[in-house]
Amino acid sequence: MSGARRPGRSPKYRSRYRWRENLQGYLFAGPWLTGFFLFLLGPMAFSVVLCMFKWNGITAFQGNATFVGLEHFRTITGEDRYFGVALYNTAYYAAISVPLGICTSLFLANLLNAKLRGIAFYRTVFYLPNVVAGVATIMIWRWLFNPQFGGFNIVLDKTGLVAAGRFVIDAVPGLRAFVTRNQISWPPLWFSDEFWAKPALIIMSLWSAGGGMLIYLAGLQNIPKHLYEVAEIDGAGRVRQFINITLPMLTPTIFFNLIMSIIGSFQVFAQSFLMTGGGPNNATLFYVLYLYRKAFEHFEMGYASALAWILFALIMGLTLVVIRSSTLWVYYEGEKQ
Amino acid sequence: MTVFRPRAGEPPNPEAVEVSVSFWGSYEEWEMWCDIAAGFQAKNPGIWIKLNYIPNSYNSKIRLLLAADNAPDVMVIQDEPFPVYAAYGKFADLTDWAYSLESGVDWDTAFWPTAVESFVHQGRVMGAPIWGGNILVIYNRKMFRDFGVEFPNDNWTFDDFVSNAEALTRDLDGDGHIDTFGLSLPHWIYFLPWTWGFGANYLDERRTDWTFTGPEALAATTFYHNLRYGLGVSPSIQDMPGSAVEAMFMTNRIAMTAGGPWSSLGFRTAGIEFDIVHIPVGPAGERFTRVTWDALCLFEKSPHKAEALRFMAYCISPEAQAIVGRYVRSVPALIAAKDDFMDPDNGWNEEKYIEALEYARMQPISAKWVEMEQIMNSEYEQLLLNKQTPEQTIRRMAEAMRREGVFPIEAAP
Repeated sequence: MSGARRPGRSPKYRSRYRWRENLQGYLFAGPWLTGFFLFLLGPMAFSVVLCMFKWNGITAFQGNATFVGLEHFRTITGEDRYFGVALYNTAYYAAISVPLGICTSLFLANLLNAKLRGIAFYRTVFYLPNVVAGVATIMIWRWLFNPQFGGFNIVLDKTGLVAAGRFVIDAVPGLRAFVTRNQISWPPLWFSDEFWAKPALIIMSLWSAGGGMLIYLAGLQNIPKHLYEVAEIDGAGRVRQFINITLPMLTPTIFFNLIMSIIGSFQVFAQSFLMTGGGPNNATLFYVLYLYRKAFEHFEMGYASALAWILFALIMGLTLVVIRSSTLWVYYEGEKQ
Repeated sequence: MTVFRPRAGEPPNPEAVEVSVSFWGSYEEWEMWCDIAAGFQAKNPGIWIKLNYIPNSYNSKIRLLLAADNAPDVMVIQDEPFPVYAAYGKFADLTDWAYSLESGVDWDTAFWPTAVESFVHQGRVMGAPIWGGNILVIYNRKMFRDFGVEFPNDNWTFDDFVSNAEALTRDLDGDGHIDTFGLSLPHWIYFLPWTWGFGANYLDERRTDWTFTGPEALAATTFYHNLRYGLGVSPSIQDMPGSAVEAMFMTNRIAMTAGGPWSSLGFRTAGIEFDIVHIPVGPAGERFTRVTWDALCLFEKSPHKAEALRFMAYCISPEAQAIVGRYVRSVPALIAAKDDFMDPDNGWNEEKYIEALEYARMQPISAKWVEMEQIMNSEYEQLLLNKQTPEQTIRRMAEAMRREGVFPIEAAP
């Protein structure tokens, strides 16, 4: 905007024009703003209040809710053993699924960035899992992880990995005793085994790697081609080009995906809710599943709200750490060094 | 032949008052509700019964609908979650209706004794019992015959039960792995008849305190644990990876299981050769089983209470209870309909479920049943994974009940 005045337009006209323009803007944003205030900001504000009350969520708040101050937070951090279990399970899941998901998406994006015949078809195929109905997906994964006739254990068996695993268990000193003591199954019983249940859900999380892949693909296509040409003239091979050009130029995309993945992984819920119910022996009791139980099975809305705000603080803290660290590893083209 | 009878859509009479009814269950149960609704509508063309079939996670969904004050007019409710909902005042008080001519029955004498009692909250009737059942032993006749084991009789004891289970646990191909098991280890709820047989109880009769302690509790828990780890007559997770108990029973890999009439519905449909026998007599010379009932509850804020009550009256009438009986899904709550439940030609003794009502008892349900159940599930899971001893299980359950504030409860619901 130059700010130059149009000849013949009075200040009154300009003010009215600006007002009309603003109104149009707000009208267009209106549906979203209504939804935001009614269904997000309103409930969020109410949940801040709820944190300090005991309320079952079924009876009317007025007259039935009891003020307890910060008692819920004290109980959660001091006495609630399931809070620790849920937090550990979620952190375990996030610590493995986030880097694994990023690497897989990046790998797929690199493969699908090639100029090949029918590449659009392959891109569609890898993105397809993201649009397949959740329940259908879960049914497929249930079958894949079936210990008796599931796809994974059949592959493990046919490729000799079951036999190799048994050999390693017997060959490594102390491993057999460890496996027996901790009742770790081999071949894996997946969702029926405490040890394997979380890895199974982590493997399952790769199913949606296509979403991240698409974003990386867009990032890859924005990298100027001349950088690769210069590198090639300088004698850099594919690996060197990837390390010195692709990765640095993709860091803003990786940064975005990393933040989104961290947030998503701490909110993992549907998989354990539908497939394991938090078991076996609370091995897949994730934070949001525990929160759900408190809210909608035990009807402790205040307690559940406190859990939700603790989760919010944790995610916010982690996100801030990642943002602060980004100055060390994220490269923005054109930014002053 | 199964005929698909669509129930969705608009009522044939556009001026009909719509009464929504929620229930869970299998396809057969949905068919039964279609029959009941059709029977009612034939007599009440001004009322349209909208069947709200929730096959999965029924209780969670009903809880959410109640919380949102958007529940169906009439809901089938189990006795387990009933005290919680009733305490929240979400169900209409049916006392006056129950004892009036409108209900169509003599409330004190028409139903099986424990059926009415299960749905009374603070002295008020809050549910019209519709059906129920108890836990008995269902056994695979083919396996008993093939292995030369005599069919169990009604006088069998815990010792006979164990020796039968041992005789049916076999390594058929000699590879060192057990191929057939005597029984599937029941969930602790289905194991209640055995727990009671040892003289142990989880709650006191006032439903306010945890009583699962002492030598009786230890004997029951040790027996439970031994069936899997001491005697090895029941498969562990490793022995039945990914297989459902029902599938193992139907494929002749498990010989006995504990269940109610609803459990045998699938076996019947699949044409499995099975029968039912009473719970064995316990060490103290007595036998027990748990009876459980479901009722129709009326949503307090239903806009069509009068019409909903007419439908409820029909459901507990001899006509509708006969439909319930014919499906053999559950024992009809109305005593007069017991003959409809029994079919002398079906090849198995469903009448045992009626006979067992004589020695059946209720598990007292507390207002904190959900919390109690979750603690018990967690501790029993540890026991059945062999990660803690029976002594530890009992101690940890009692500690958790206190620590989590589940017990003691100040007043009975």
